[in-house]
Amino acid sequence: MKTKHLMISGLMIASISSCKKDDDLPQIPQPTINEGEVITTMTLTFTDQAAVQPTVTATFRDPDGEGGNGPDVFDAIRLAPGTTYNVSILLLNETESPADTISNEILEEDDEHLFCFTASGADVTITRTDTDGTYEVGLASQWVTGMAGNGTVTVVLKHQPGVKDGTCAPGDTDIEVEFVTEIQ
Amino acid sequence: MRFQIIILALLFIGWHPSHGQECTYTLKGTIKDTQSQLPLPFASIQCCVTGTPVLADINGNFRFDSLCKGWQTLVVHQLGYGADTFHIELQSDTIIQVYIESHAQMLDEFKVSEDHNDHEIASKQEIKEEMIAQYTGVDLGTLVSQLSGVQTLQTGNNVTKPVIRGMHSNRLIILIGGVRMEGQQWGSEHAPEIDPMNAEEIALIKGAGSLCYAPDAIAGLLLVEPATPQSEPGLQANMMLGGNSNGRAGTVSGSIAYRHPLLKKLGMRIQGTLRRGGNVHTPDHMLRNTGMKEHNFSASASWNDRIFSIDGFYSQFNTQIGIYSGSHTGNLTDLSKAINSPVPLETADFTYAINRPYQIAEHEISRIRTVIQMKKDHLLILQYDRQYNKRGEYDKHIPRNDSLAALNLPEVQLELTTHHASVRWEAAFTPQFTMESGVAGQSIGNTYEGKFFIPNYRRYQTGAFTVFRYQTKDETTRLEAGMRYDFIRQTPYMFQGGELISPTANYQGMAAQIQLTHRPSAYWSLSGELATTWRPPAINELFSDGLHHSAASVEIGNASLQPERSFNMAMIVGYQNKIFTATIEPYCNWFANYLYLSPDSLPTLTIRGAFPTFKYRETKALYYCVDARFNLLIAKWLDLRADLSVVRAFNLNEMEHIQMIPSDRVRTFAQFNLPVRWVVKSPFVRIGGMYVFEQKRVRDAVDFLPPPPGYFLMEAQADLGFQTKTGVIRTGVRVTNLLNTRYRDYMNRFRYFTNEIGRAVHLYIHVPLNNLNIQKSNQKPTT
Repeated sequence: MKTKHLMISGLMIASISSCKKDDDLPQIPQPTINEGEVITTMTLTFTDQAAVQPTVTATFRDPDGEGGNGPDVFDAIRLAPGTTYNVSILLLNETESPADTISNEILEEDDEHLFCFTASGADVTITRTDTDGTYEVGLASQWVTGMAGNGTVTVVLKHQPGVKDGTCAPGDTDIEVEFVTEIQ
Repeated sequence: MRFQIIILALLFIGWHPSHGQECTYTLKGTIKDTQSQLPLPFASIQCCVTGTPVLADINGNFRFDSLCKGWQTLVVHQLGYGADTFHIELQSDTIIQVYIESHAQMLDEFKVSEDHNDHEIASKQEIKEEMIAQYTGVDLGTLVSQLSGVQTLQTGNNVTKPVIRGMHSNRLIILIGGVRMEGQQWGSEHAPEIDPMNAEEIALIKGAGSLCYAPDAIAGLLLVEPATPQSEPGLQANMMLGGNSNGRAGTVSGSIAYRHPLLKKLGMRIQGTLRRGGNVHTPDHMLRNTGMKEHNFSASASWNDRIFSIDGFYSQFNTQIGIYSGSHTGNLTDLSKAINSPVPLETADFTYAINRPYQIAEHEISRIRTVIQMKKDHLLILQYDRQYNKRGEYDKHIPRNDSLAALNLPEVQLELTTHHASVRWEAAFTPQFTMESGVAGQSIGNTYEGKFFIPNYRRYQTGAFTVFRYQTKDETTRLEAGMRYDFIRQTPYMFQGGELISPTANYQGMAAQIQLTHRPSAYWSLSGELATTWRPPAINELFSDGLHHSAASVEIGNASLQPERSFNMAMIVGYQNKIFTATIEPYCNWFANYLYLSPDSLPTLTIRGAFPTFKYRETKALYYCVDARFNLLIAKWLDLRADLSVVRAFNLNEMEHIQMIPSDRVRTFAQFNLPVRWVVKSPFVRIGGMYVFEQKRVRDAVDFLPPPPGYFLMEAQADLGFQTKTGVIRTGVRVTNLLNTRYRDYMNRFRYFTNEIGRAVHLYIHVPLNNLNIQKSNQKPTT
């Protein structure tokens, strides 16, 4: 009789033991900082090559990253006509403190990234001026403005691991921001 | 609980080795009730697969003549005892005693009307072991969609969720071995984490029945019953193999069950399944990263005594599913490019390798249950179970930081742990009047790692329920009524503005159901049901906030949502004669408060661009549908079946149709039962077709792409069995999408990117290994 009961209890215990467990507690959520990969802020800095026009910046900032709230800073690009600007792009992750400079990581992995610029309506010609050794990157670029007018410029960052070919077609889009652009 | 059949001693008059069939043997005996030892008059007993059931006489005696030597299958059926199958090796003229035991002499809670030959005219539909074996390697959602009135919600080929009466996810409850599945079932890409190979029966109970388990089975209840150890002593094993040409997938599943010859009350079983598949292909392209792999395991042990039973169950489900890489898009521009491309953007050669993006899901269940017979016809059932569910989403995007990328962490990981306990009292006051009452409690804890989509939370639920069943003595009328009251307390833990908040919400409500079934004659059956159910808002409906990568949309919860309350009415009209069966089930459900995802007029602007935004809202809604199925036995060798389903759903406040509702469909097939030759048993060939209509009830502004056109699919199957010493081996081939049709289905999210998969040839074989010899029992004398 006893052996029977032992065997049964053994089986029962074996059957309710568990192999998998959650190591976290619900009442202690992890901090909202996520994996440090979020780009919250993009700032373009425009410096006149001829040092005549003032240096201007344009920033897009969405503090909650992919969360449901929109950007809290979304500047328009205001440039002077007939000017050649040297432009640099700064990318930050401001969910961390101090802010993490993502553009440095892009620089380190420049062979996997490409910035693409598309102007529409605004008279500006944009060329990338940096290189990863084979292809351009776009963290540094030159913008030549023509006549006064208004339009948009779309700045796209493509992540192209293993598929970078110099064009904007392959890869996934990490950034796509359409700036209102005023040349006046 | 299982109904047990205790087979008694037979007379062996030696054993004669023989070759070829000798069909001059007689099997006779008596069917009796174990407890009273009295014969069961007019119990139904069927012999030998193709035989028709006969009724025992007033003394419970039966007799079969001209039986062949070798293994025979007997099915005994009696109202109040259920049906059971057993195998007997016939060596000579044999006399047996069959004892049927029912723990409390009452009706199975889920059978509305039993015992009508093979055709069920009930709100219950079943998939039995034989069919599950034919679908070896097919996931639960696809398997269940073979039943009439069940559609699917898919995310590619590997993720399939069942849809019943147009509803799914939070409105459909799945029970496995008496445990309510708790995981992240709110997710449209979260398929049920269940291995159908472990089941001996999968039943679908439509409507708001099952108050014994939950108040919120609005669409219905899917019951998966894991196989239990056989009642005969000895070792039994099962092996199932399946292959699928599309994806070069293979499945191996096996189980071993043991009942000790001396400790007959102790039975044990272990089971396992392995599945592996590579990239699948549409008629024109092989899709990149669409493989999967799965390993599952379960074990059960039980001690069954008349007074006291205890059983334990443990199962583990582990899967890794490759998500078609072209479906993960960075933003709307990418999505647009994918949608407008005439060919899938990402194709590849065949490989079994699974790369990002992929999802992993793990589910572990442990359950212990005891049944105590307090006195005759009164049972006390105690149950405790624990579940653990883990889901990980590994996005296409690897972290930019190389050392971080090397860790291969999921972008989102959710872990849900559930503890549940219940006490139930089942009583049969008279054979006609039975009752089931109880209390149950549950606690859930959810945590996440990675990106925020839903918060951590704790959820406590307690409920009390009671269900009464009354059946007239002549068994033509049955009334079932039940009520349940629940208290639910849900507390999320999350950061808002850097501060940890935990806003608790309390919910309580009553659910009730009444159902009347009447059989005015042997041909007709009518059933009507009224019910009211409710469910609290789910955590994602309240607090989700974030970009849904694969949906390329932002979903935002609404913390002010109130519970969903619905009232439903269902009817079943059934007709049956010797050759024709028809069942028509109209249903309608009015939601006083329906929770749904509604498109917002303003998109959310993120650094990736603008995404359409959806917010959870409340409205009044009306669902109504009709499921119908017909079966015509033109001749013994030709069986025709047809079923159709129509679902409509309205958002009454906005006066528009609700989105993502399955379109109308019609399905028919013809089964040719071929004559038996040599050792081949019951071969058949089946050919069928399904037409799915275009879903016209949509709002273009809400969707990236208009619904795809209607389509027609054909399927064919050939199956046969071989009798062996250890059972009947069944094997067959089934071809789906026989015509290699190019089509897309509205309810598959991947319709934006690719066509559905092309022709697939499924092979299956089921080898039972039952080393059964009926042994002389030392319990009861023979006559």
